[in-house]
Amino acid sequence: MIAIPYLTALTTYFSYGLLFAFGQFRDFFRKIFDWCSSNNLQGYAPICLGLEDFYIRRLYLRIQDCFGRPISSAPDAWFDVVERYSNDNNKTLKRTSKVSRCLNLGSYNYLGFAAADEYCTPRVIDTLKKYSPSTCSTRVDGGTTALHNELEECVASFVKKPAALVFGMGYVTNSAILPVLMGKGSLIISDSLNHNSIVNGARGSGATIRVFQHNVPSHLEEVLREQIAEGQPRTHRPWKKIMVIVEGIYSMEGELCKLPEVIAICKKYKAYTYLDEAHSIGAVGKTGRGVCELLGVDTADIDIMMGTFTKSFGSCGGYIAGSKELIEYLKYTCPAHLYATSISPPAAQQIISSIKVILGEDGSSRGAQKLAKIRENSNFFRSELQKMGFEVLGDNDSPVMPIMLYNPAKIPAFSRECLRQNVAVVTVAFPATPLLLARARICISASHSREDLTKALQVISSVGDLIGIKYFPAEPTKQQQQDGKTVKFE
Amino acid sequence: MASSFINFVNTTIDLVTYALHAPSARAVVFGFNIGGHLFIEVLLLVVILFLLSQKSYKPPKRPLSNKEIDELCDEWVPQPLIPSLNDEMPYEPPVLESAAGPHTIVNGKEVVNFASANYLGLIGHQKLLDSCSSALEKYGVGSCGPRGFYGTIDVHLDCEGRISKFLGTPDSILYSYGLSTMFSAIPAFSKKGDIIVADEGVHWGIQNGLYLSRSTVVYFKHNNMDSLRETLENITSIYKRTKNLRRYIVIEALYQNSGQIAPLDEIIKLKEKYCFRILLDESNSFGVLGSSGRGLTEHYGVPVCRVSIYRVSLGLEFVTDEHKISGLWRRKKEMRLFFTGFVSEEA
Repeated sequence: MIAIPYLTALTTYFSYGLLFAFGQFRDFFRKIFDWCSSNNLQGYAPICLGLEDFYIRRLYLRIQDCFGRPISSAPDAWFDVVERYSNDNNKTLKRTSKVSRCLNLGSYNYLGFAAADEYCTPRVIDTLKKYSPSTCSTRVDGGTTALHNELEECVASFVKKPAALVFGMGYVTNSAILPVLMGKGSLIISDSLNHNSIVNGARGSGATIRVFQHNVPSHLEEVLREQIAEGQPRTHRPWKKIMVIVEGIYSMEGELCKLPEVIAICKKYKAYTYLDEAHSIGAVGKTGRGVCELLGVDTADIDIMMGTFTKSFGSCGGYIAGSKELIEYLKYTCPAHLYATSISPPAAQQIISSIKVILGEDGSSRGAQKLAKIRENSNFFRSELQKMGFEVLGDNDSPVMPIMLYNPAKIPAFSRECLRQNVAVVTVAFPATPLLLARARICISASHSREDLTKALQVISSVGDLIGIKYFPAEPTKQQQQDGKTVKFE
Repeated sequence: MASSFINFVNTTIDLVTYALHAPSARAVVFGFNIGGHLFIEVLLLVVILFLLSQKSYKPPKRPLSNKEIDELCDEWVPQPLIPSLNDEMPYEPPVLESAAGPHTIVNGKEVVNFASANYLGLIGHQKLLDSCSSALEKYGVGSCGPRGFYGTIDVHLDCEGRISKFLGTPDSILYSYGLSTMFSAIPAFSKKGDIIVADEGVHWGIQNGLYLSRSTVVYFKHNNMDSLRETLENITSIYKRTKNLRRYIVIEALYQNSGQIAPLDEIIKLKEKYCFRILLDESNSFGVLGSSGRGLTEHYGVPVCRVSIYRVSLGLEFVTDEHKISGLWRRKKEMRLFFTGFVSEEA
């Protein structure tokens, strides 16, 4: 729950109103000009239509330079951001050959495996030479190498499940698995802030979807009771099966899932659980085994565990871990397993090696050090930001920390100012967040040193003063703010 | 008994006549003698108002009590998460112990490989391996972020430039995974209410994309031009009046499921006649068909600008006349850029 100060809500609405009005005004003139120039695609409807197109042209393009910044090095603690310039008011951006060395607070490089690693990279290159970059085939045809089987065993034992199945992309894992398991007559209860891939998968499955308030187990229970009592809509037949889908760490809020409570409720009402650990696997927990380890949940209580290798492992792909029968069934039915190219062998090797480093099987204690470092870094950075008076979301131990910006004009201001001072941050706005709740997101990595973080804090603090986003300047006023008039958002 | 009834009737009649002759009964409104009407009408009005003020009858609502809900929850038995496995399900695919080249090793035995789509035989190409190794050392394996958030590496952009140059399209965009390309691209261009005419034989990625777009999807018979013409004709006559309706034809160049080649020249003629846009999936034909490997358009000698959106090769996708789109670059010619496909991450 985010409490946005009344005045800020008002100014944010005003800003969007102004942007909208100006956009419409410009569109009006554009229409007049377009009238004169002939359209060469007679009979075709325009490919981009409506408000979405309006949003992209009149709002997004103005601040386009804050997104999709190309880099020209590995996304390590420091990276090279390619400078771009525009001659047509940001409509198109051109790359220059100049780069600026920036501190990376944007990549999901939680454990620092993104850059070349002394243990992983030589092994990956050996694999590349042995297996070449792609198998050019699906898993069931000729795309299964010995490495793929090794990876699945390795992942299964890492997340402490009997079996696992890997896919070439994280997004596909969610959106292809759900339609296999759920169908007409089943119910999916999803957290309101679940990732788009889950939403797509749930939609694609044809099951009924209900949403519970973000991270509120009591509301989950309420929804479950109501749904079980009512049954399917119209026919009132009992549901075939119910699945509750939650994420380990919510990427836009930095919050940890209230997993123990959710699991207890699911057990009580016999619902299946699906845990998406895209951001949490590898990043949290004493040995990097994700939220289950951190919150003390037995993985046997979770029916389906999903995660991606994109973040902590510095590779690509995703996995599903579950019972042996479940994986056997998925191998027989899942379209992403049957029709999609198998995960690239070098990428698979990167995952295997990085898991070995995390578990200390490489014969060093680097994995444990990395895990300790990310925890220490995250908690240090979060507490410092809070002390400075920023409104920071998320829980302790989570390496993702969003800083609330609210006003649309503050999005490019924050991003550009930070970049000017060589700190690269990610800003997120509508439609990834609700309209009012634009934010900047910081992702901490184990490869950041204390000096890096101190520098980042200095820059963020000065930029924060400049654009006025320290919404809770000192401790006592924080209390006052909350007592005063606020608009509540869920 | 009878007399008491007559008495009652008489008194009532008396009362009524009294009421009719009450002082107000002689009232004259606008020159009309309204008689006893006023009294009766006021009475009726009062009755109506009285009835209106009453609550209408509703069957009593009895929501389930907590105890009842508890019982229902206890009684509910979910189906198992997965149906029971039967004998044909467990299937062990061959496990390769070397690269998936023309010859590969399965169970320690060297076999000829007919299962991999290594059409150009680029697997194990030395130059390609060298450029991949150097890319790995420089950029690492994963980009650790989506394209919007520092996941775009300069080689991605170079690669996109080369692809669009190779195909002769204005622009292109890379996706990291072939399967996801079509099912992200279709919903991006086609929304609820739009019309998609698709071949029956398209692969799962496209089918899923069609479903997710929530557009009206009409299938025509696999590679049957008469069926396509009929479908287009029908749709055009139904939606004659509708403005701003986006219409697409979705086809694969070389069908993954049947191995047939789509007759693009005829489809282009139909498309232009009925004003549809084409989404062409060249997963299997890019680099294979045409004299210089530029795919189906080259095969038929059709200018690329006639195809609206183009998706190529194990996930590599393009738009020609209008916009962006994307794909993953696997096993193709510009070897240096090879790794971009999987360096790039998540859409």
